Amino acid sequence: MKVDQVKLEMIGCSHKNVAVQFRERLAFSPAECTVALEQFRERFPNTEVVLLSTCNRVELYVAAPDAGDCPGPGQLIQFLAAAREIPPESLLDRLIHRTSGEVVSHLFRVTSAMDSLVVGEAQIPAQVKQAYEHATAAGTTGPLLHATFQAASRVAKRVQHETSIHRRRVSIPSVAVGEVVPEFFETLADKKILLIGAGEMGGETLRYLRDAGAKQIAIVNRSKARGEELATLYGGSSVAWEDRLTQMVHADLIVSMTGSSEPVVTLAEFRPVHAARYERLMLILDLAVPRDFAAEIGDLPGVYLYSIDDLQASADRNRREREREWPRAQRIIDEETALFMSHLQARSTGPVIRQLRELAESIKEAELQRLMNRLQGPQLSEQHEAEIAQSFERLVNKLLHSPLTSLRDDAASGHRQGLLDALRRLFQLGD
Amino acid sequence: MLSRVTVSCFVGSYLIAMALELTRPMVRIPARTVLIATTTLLGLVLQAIYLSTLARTEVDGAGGMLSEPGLFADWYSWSLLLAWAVAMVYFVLLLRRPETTIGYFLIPPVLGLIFLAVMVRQWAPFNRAEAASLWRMIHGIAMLLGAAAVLIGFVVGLMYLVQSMRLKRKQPGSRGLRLPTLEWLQKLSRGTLVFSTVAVAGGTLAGVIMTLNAQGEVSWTSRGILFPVCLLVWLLAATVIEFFYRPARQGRKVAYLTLASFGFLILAMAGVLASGHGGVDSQRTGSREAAP
Repeated sequence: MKVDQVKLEMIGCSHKNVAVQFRERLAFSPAECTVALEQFRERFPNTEVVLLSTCNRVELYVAAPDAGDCPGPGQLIQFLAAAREIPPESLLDRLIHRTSGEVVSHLFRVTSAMDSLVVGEAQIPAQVKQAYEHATAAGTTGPLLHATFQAASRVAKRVQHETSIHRRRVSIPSVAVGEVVPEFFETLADKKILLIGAGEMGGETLRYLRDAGAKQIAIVNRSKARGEELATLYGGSSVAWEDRLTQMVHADLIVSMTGSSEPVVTLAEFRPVHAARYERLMLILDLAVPRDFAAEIGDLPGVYLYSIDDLQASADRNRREREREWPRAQRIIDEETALFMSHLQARSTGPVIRQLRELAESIKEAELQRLMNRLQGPQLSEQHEAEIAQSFERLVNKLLHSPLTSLRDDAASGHRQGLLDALRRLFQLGD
Repeated sequence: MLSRVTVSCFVGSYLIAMALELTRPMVRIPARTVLIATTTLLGLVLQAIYLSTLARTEVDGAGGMLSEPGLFADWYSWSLLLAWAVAMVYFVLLLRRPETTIGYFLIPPVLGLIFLAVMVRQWAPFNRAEAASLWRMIHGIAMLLGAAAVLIGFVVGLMYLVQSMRLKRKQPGSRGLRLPTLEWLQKLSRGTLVFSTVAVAGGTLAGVIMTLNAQGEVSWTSRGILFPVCLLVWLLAATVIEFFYRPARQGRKVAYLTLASFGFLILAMAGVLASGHGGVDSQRTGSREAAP
């Protein structure tokens, strides 16, 4: 019978197997996450747990040094269902379950952004780290999950360094700022940038612009309050919607992404702006659907108008190039998983070896004591006593050396020969 | 009347400009920059008149012999020419950046060079043969730099048009063809245009002085002189257009100006090579003429 002392389990769902509506029902806010971790600890006190909840996945990682303490998949489903107040039967077919090495391999893939909606995305390593730190702060992690998550972080860095899976930009704002803008401008530090629309994509674009060195950013939004909020969050100034055309006269770069169903700037509106600019170089990144700028504006001299379709081609090309890196990254994951599991399994032999040594030590001490009592007398010098004790010690070590070496080798190969269990039974070591 | 212009006239103009510059942090004077620009321009014109009068006097005073004192062949006139060039740079920069106090740094060298000229006025001038040799070297180097700038401007202008076409066709981020940014290409186009104009203007002026020293007159209808002068006229016109017509400072228009400059350069080169101007024969003629 094969014995795994250490137990690792993962249960959860991701964008790959369930729809966003279901993920939303199962998702945990940071506060809910803390409560859930505490509840889990109360219910399974000898089990370590980390809860990873992002927009694209909800996953519960559990580990126990003793397999008997670790909850099974059914118990984990029950727990999640209770925490989110969902009938357990609705989770049964939708959650994936991984155990042992599969858990490690899965976590390594998730942290290296190979399991993400956008392969190689930059956010997931930080999200995994946050989930681990959250659990550590809640006191629900231990040596097993420390080792697993720290290894995951190291593997993610290795994948990042040894492959180019993270290097190609795949989101529209990152392609716009990272690939199109550098074809036009040497630096954004001295450029006037006008951001039209303050939605979610606006925030992401602002972040990229800031990272690229932009300093003078004006934000125009129909709701000035939202514009001001974004300006405060990322830096910049908020400008009234009515002043957008005046702002365009001075702008070098315009990024537009309103939710308007009609163009925000028509050719007729833009002509006076163009005349006032004396054909100065202007790049317009129209990331809105439908478009914010009339297409004819791009025909004017000195004006370069890019729509979301123009940027999508670059994003798709980069995505394909990332996917080409997949096999190299997968090889790293496989190699690291094998190495980690070998270390983990070696750890599981520790208690048995300790018990065996304690047993041998107690027998040795008892026999030594009995012999010394018999030989007690003037003819037994201290030197003789020491030599006898050393002989007993050598005898025990020599007897244990070969079985312990075989046990360690067997553990490194995944307990294929079942020596751990055999030793337990042969020497009646108990669990 | 023009012969009445003295060193004091243009020094006075420059001093007024300097005084106006120095008042910047102290008092508000309406239209100060206009006044500074006007007095500087006045100084430049007066100095140019003075230098042309000086040149005429030297040409008229010299006999047919090449051993006579040469035109612009002494430290006095060289210092004044250099002072005029620095003053011109100041004037252009003042128009470009009227809000800055560059006069603090540029007018003192102008006045210093004029002072130096006055101090070395009595030094004996070089003879015409020596002057011709010196100005020939300056002429050659300046024309070479000007031609190189026009050529680089042409290449940069071409790159700008290719890059602009790519970006209009929405082909950014291509790893096969990677060109410098539009902004950089535009700046470099403008830079080469201005540099080539200055270099060709300096080279032409040096050529005129060289010819006057060597031959006593300039044959303006010679193809070797006419075509380079056409190049200079075009470059001056292009620079003036670029300076005063704002759309011409941007993008494709600058590129077109540099491309046209290259056309004029080809014309000038053809003229020079076809006429033997600057060739070995021309050098020999100059040497023979230089013999006493």
